[in-house]
Amino acid sequence: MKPDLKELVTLDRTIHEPARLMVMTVLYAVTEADFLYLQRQSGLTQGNLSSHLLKLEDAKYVLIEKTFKGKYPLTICSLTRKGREAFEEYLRKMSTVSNAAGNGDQHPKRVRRK
Amino acid sequence: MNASPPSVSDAKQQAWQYWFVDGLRHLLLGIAILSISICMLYPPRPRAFWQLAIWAATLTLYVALMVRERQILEWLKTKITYPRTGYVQSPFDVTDLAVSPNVLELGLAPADERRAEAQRLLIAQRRQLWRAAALVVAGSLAMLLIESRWVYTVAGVLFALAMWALRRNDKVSWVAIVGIPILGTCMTVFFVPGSYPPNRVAWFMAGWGGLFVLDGTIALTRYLLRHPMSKVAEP
Repeated sequence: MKPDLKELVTLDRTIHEPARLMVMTVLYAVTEADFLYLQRQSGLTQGNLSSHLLKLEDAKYVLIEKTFKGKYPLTICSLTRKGREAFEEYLRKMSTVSNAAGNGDQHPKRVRRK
Repeated sequence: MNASPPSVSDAKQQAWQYWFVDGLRHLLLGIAILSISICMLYPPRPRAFWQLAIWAATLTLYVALMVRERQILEWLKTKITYPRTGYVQSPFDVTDLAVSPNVLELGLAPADERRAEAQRLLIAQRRQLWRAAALVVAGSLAMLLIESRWVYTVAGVLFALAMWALRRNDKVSWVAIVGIPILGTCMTVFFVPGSYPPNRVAWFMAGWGGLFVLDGTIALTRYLLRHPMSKVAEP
């Protein structure tokens, strides 16, 4: 195995799960969003998104706050500093891996048999 | 699952477009332009109380929309948008510092190519903004300085080109893009030479504001029909 590809083993599994990666990507881009927005963006069910958010909250990657905008209650989610750093680290590793895969040895040319 | 945002820039783009999807911003912009054009069209006269009152009210509305646009928009979104499709922080609050420049989008292209592509997109976006601003300034100056009935057609085309340049980011609809040249042409055809000069600009602005109000109303109606209010219990 190439040294770059070994990065795959050290990937943060909390972020690597597709649904959580989606949530982290959205939150990284928008700074803060509420539960309903995340649900619409991810297409996850309420329970599913809720459980993923709890896992991210347990890892201290996401901060969940209950607040009000006027009379409308909001469950606002945002990335913590630790979450931002973990996400950036995750992207860096994935990028290294994809570069390693992209710049790797070419497939051997197929030889046509006569 | 819906089409999910595969990258940070896509998620950012979607959040930006979400800010315009309910049409409220264009509606408020249209009302602001309409109110200032009404102030220009009907200046207050002494001993005409009602005219003075209407003039003062429209001027107050314009000033309020200019100074408190953000707060008014947030208040309307709290009533209309957030309960239906959720809240996301305004893209105007998200600075570029929030997204680290070292973060690379995931993809199969080499990192240098991806970084160059992101840089190219940023430069293209800025260039588009400057181009649109230059077109609007050119159109406005032409209306103010050139005494010709055809200047409104030219200004209409310049304004339309400016809005066409901004159509993706600012979600300007075809109503405003097509409407402005038609408005300019109508002003050229029906323009009465010899009328007081500021009024012509005010009429053009009133038409422009009206188009934005129409654009915003259509977008808002469409949004309300697509997203009826539903009670979603949060965890």
